This record gives sequence, structure tokens and C-alpha cells, in this order.
Amino acid sequence: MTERVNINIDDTVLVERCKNGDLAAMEVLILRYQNRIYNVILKMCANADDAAELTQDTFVKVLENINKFEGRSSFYTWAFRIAVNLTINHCKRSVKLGFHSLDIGDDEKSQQAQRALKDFLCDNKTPDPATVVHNRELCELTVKALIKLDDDQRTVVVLRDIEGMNYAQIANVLDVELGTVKSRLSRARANLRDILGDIIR
Amino acid sequence: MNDKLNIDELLNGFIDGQLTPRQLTEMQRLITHDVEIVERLHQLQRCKMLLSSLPSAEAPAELAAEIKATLESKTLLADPTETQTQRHGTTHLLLRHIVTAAAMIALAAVLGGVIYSIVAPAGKPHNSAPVALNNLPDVKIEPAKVPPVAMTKVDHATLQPIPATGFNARLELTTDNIATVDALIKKAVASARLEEKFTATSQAEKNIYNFTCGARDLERVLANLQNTWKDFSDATLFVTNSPGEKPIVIDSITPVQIAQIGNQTTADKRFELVKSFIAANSLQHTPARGIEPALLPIPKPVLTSPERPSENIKENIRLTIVIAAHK
Repeated sequence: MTERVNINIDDTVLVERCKNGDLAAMEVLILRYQNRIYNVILKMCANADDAAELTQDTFVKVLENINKFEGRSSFYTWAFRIAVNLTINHCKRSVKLGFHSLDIGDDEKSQQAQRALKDFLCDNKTPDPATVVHNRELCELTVKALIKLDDDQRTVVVLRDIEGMNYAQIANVLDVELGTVKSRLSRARANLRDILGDIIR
Repeated sequence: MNDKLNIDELLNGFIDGQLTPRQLTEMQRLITHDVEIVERLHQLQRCKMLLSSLPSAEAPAELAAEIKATLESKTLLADPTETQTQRHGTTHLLLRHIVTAAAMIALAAVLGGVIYSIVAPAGKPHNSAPVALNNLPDVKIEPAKVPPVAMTKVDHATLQPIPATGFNARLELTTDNIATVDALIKKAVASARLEEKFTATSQAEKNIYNFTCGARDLERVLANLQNTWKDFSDATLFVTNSPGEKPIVIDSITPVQIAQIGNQTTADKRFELVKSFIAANSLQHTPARGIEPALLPIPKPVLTSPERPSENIKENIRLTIVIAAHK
């Protein structure tokens, strides 16, 4: 599916085509960003079903309001701003966040186990099973530690370390000052270090 | 504490590659000389590495199709006629609000007009329709200058409207019996206690009486004369607002008409009344003699106290009665 996305077409051109009702351009934009947005949302809300629904809501909102997009920021930043706002609102509304967090731990674990097993069976260069198990446990602990952060800190650290945004982009997406991004990120990593404890040390 | 936070931010900026060249130099100097900072740096790097190494989840395969389906269903549900109806409904509602507001304002204006017509001050002149007059002299009546009236205690039993403005009147009566009329006038003047302001002169076949009085005194004088009024062959009143002004002439005047003129509170009202009397008397075409004057009620007696009632203090009518013998 990813191969169908024409990476040579600039977002600005696709957005203009979308404004003119070009369904193909809309599809290209969806395919270009759906995995990245879904991944960020999943790490923030820690529930695969909610993440899929929020990703869908994000794209629907993006495409419904595409005519209001003035291009003052990049389409990428604008789309992620919508996604993050929807997800934060969802997280604030959800009183079952802690319960879902444990569930997603199981989901993630099963997906990763399946993926690891598949890689192990298909690839001769795959590390030995003990390493796979160890890495899987590390992932589980990291996800659980991430979920223990508050929404603001988790959002910043996800956008930085998982999505790979620079500080300015994060500030733009969250509509906060650059210093706020730095301090939130610093506290988030300090908390993660405390939660992960011996693994880090 | 703040230093620790600042160093943490610098360390995070260092591992994220977000430091300025100057901050980078400073950070490198710290790393070179401080083992504790190096340890903290390694911990943050491991933390970052753990997060970065989390497997990247892929969106469900059917997500794009679901998004397109959702958009299509929303487009179908958004019926343009519904939007148009909503707009029409909004416009209609706005129009109704405007019409309602206009109706309320109109109703308030009508009610205000009705209330004002009920409680309007009595001193305001009425805009009555103009009266058609024949040979009406073009005289502009100016209000006479009268000093302000002091508020005094009055007898409520005799309380009557007091003229706010004065005027000059000359009443010319023609009779066959000057002596009788002379006696009546002097009696009326005495009863009205106007002796001090009364002068009488006799000329050839003509008696002239001058006095200044108020409206009530004028009524008393006229009440004494009304029984003999039918004996006057001619009764003409000349009215001016001030001496030297061209008078307005009312033929076949009656005592009631004179009293009504004297009771007017403003020059405008007096002028309107004079015009109506001129018109009415000219239409009758009857001489004064033989006309039964309308009965003028005799005013109640005035108080006999040393102080005269306030109504009589307002003596702003200068009346000259000329009795001439009928030829």
C-alpha cells in the first residue's frame, strides 16, 4: 500500500488539489500520513481501537476543513496539531485511561510477539530467541513507563522521540513556547528515568 | 535545583541536537570535566534510545477506505436544500424579529401620544384649526409683560384660573339712559372694591370710566351690567395687549364674552377666542339691543379681611368703559 504513495508530489500541491475536490490527492495525503499519525496517537492514548478511531477522525476533520488551511504552517504540522488536540481531548475525557493502558500493553505484546516470531522464522539473521524476548520485555516496560507520564509530558516525548519532530515543530503543533517544550521534555525524560530505574542505569 | 533543571535541558538539547553552537561548546566542556553529568547524559541517551526503539505501529489497512466512506456519507448527508432551508429560516426569523421590534416601537409611540394628550400641561396652546374671518385686522398680539406672581395662600372656594397675561380693553356702550348705567357701574365698582383704582370723567353725552382690575373683578362689574345689557343699542369691545397697539374690534360683544376673554391665561388663547367671537358675532348680524346676554354667574363675595385675596392682586386688565348716549 505504501508503494502507491507518490512521494514526489509536494504537500502544498496535494492540498490545493484537495481544495478543488481531487479525491486522488486526498487519498495520497491519507496514505502519506496515516501510519505516522496513527503511531503517535497510539503511543499517546495507548489503545489500538481508540487510536484507529482518532486517526480516522483526524483525517475526516483535516479534509473537511482543508479549505480553511491557509498554509501558515506546513500541512504536516497542521494535521498533527489536529491529531494531538483530538487525542489529548480524548485522553482527558477518558476515565479508563489506566485500564486501557494495561490492555494496550497486552495488545502491543501480542503484536510484537507475533512480529518477532515472524521475523525469527523468516530471517536467518534474526537474533536468538533470548534477545527477542529481552527486547520485547524492554518495549513493554517502556510503554508502561510512557503511559505513567502525564498527558503534556507524554505528548512532547512522543512527538520528539517517536515522531522525531524538532523542538520548534513541537512548539508549533502544541501552540506553546519553545521553552515550555524544553522544560516538558526535560521533566518527561527525568520521570522516565526514574520509572525505568535500573534498566536505564 | 534550577541549575540541575537547566543542565537537564542542556543535556536533552545536546542529545537531540538542538543546542546553539555556544551551548554546544559549554556542554562539551561540562561533559569533559564532570563525571556526574556524563552519567546523567548516558541515562538520558538510554531513555531516548528505548523510546525510539519502540516498534512503529501501522494504521489498520482499511483506515483509508473508512475515511473515504465517512467523508462520502457526510457529503451525502449534507443536503444542500437543507442548508438553503436553514438559511431561509434564519432570514425569516430575523425578519420576524425586525417586524416585531418595529410593531413594538409603533405601539409604544401611539401609547406615548395618548398618554401625553391626557397629561399634557394645560398652558400649552392648542393647534386649533384656523377660523375663517371677514375683515379681520392683521394684528399681532404680543404677550404683556407681567411681573411674576408670588405664591400666596388663596381661598379654595373662589379659586379660579388667573390670567397669566394682561391686556387693555375699551368697551363702548351706547344707551338711552346714561344715568342708570352710570349708577350701575359705580355700584359694581364699589362692590368689587375698586374705588381706589377707578376714575370717572364726564364729557358731552359721554361718560368714561377707567379702572384696573383682575378677571374676577371684571366679572363682578359685568354681572352688574348684564341685566341692562339688552338696553344697549351698541356694544363694542376694543382689545389690545399693550397701549398704543392697534386694537382688535369685536362688535355686539356680550358680558359673557368679555368675561371669557378676561379669563384667558395666555395672549394666544385670548387671540383665538377673540377671533372666534368676531366670527360668531358677525354671523349673527344682530345689533346688541334686544339680545339677551347669557347669564353671567355672579362671583361669590370676596373675603372681607384686610388682605385681599390673591386673585385680586392679579390686576392686569386695564378696562375703559365709554358710555355714550344713543342718538
